[in-house]
Amino acid sequence: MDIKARIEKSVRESVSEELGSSIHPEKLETVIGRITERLATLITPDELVLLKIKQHRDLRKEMAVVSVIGEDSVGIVADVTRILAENRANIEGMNQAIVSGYFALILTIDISGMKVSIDELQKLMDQVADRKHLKIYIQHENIFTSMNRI
Amino acid sequence: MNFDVFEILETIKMSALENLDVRTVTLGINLFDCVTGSIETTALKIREKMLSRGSGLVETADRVAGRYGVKIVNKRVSLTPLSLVFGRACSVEEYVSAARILDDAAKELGIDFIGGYSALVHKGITAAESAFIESIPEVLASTSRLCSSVNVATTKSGINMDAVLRMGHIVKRTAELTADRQAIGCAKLVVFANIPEDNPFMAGSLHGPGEGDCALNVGVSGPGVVHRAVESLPHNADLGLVADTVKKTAFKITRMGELVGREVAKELGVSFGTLDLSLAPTPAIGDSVADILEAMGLEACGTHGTTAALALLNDAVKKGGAFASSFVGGLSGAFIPVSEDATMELRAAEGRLTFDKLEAMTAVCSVGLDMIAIPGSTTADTIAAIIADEISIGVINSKTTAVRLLPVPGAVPGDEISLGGLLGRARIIPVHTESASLFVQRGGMIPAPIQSLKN
Repeated sequence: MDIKARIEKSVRESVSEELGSSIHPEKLETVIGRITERLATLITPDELVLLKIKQHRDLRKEMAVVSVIGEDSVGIVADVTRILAENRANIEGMNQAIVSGYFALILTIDISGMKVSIDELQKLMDQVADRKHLKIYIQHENIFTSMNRI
Repeated sequence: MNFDVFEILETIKMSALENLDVRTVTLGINLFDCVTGSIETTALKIREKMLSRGSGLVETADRVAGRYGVKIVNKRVSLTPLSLVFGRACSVEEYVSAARILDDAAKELGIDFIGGYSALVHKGITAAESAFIESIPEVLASTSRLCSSVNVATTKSGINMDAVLRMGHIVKRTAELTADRQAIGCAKLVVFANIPEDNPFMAGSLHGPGEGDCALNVGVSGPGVVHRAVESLPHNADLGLVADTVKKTAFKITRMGELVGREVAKELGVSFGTLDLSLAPTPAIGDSVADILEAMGLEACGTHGTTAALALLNDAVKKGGAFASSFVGGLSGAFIPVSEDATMELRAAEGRLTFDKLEAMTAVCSVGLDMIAIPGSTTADTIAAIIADEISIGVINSKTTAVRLLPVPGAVPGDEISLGGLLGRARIIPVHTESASLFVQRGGMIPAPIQSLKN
């Protein structure tokens, strides 16, 4: 089945489910036809493949939060991100602030492709933390989800 | 994932500064398949099952704790009440040597306590149970990890006063046998009404006869977190808002515990039992239930208003917990173990928190008269009368109540004992000295209350 036929099949299922017998069958066919045309010309086959890859990657993503708190000094971000890069933890979000003289850095990282476990990463971070008088916490995202989302 | 910085910092603050932790993961193990004709063979089979089912407990708990950056303080094992498993009556020596086998197995597993040296005698005591109960003082004196509990009443059955009187003597004897260690044996012995079958907290933890083969029950704590939340409210915040704040905090704590508990259970390959959300204090500063009551506006825990404040706290904790988890069980509420709560111990030592006030508080908290050091001169009959009072509160109110007293030999009011670790320290507080002997020695059953006729 080619892409256009697949789009049409999918559109037909969704539209029929939503509108069903409330719309005249001829009108239904026109609506399905027009939406299919639009979608088929809007996205190229290559883009569809990319979309598919992205969806797949989003699904298997596993995230953690790295929180760095303590005395401000030169090179904190460099040290922390170097360890993350070396262990293939991808940084997805970064938030940094100086709160009443204290340095606070919160990184959201994708750990699905990471070379080490959270425990091992924590040990590596503890070395930086000791050297720079910081506290570094690494926590799996589930703890924030469970405590803050219903 | 989309969390704001406040949410992330709040979680870190709770675990790093406010003593939020998973207090215990307790693996319940059913022992009915270990029953044999000989107590020694049975004990060896129990040991084998404990070692096979519990071998990964400590390591798995530590690994999961690391993943979430939350402490799991205790890893423990609870067993089917051993009076049911050991069957026929044995000699005290036989019980002691079987208990030692289990105590050593706990040591091998790397856990600090196992629960289940227990008997359920709320309706009557068999000859075997009688021999078993008789062995409790020697067993507790010659082991260090094994904990004992005896259920003497339920709302459905009434109060077995013969068992109550018997336990008065057992508590006294346990204190005498461990007199050289500040009566520490008594810290491992609890007398219950309406004992829960899935409570993860020691010393009263057991794996009830209605439970499956194995289940992981989780106890979550966090008095420090609740204290900070209440303390940060303005003085003009009304009590509805105080309750709401406690409830929301309890919700977060429970969700964290359930997440961690389920993960440990999954990795161990056992079913998740229940989540017990109990504000269990520790002697650490800032981890006190009394602090929460005082933050609500009491000058000292123990003054008038304390019972109402505790009732509010206990109920709000349950409501937050019940919303957060579908499997809330065990004791769930607020604990008031005097020696284990730094502020409560201080108020008791100052004479501002009295024995009678503690008893009143137990009507609205989740357990009972817990970890209270009383004078060594207290008679077995008086201890039985204290047990009867406390147990009747549980029976009439259809709730669990329990008694864990330390009648420290030779100690008089004002003396201080130190039990070490999570058990803390305590000042001896006075109890009434007028005799209740005639009452408790009448024996028999106090009939089940009218509340039991629900069918």
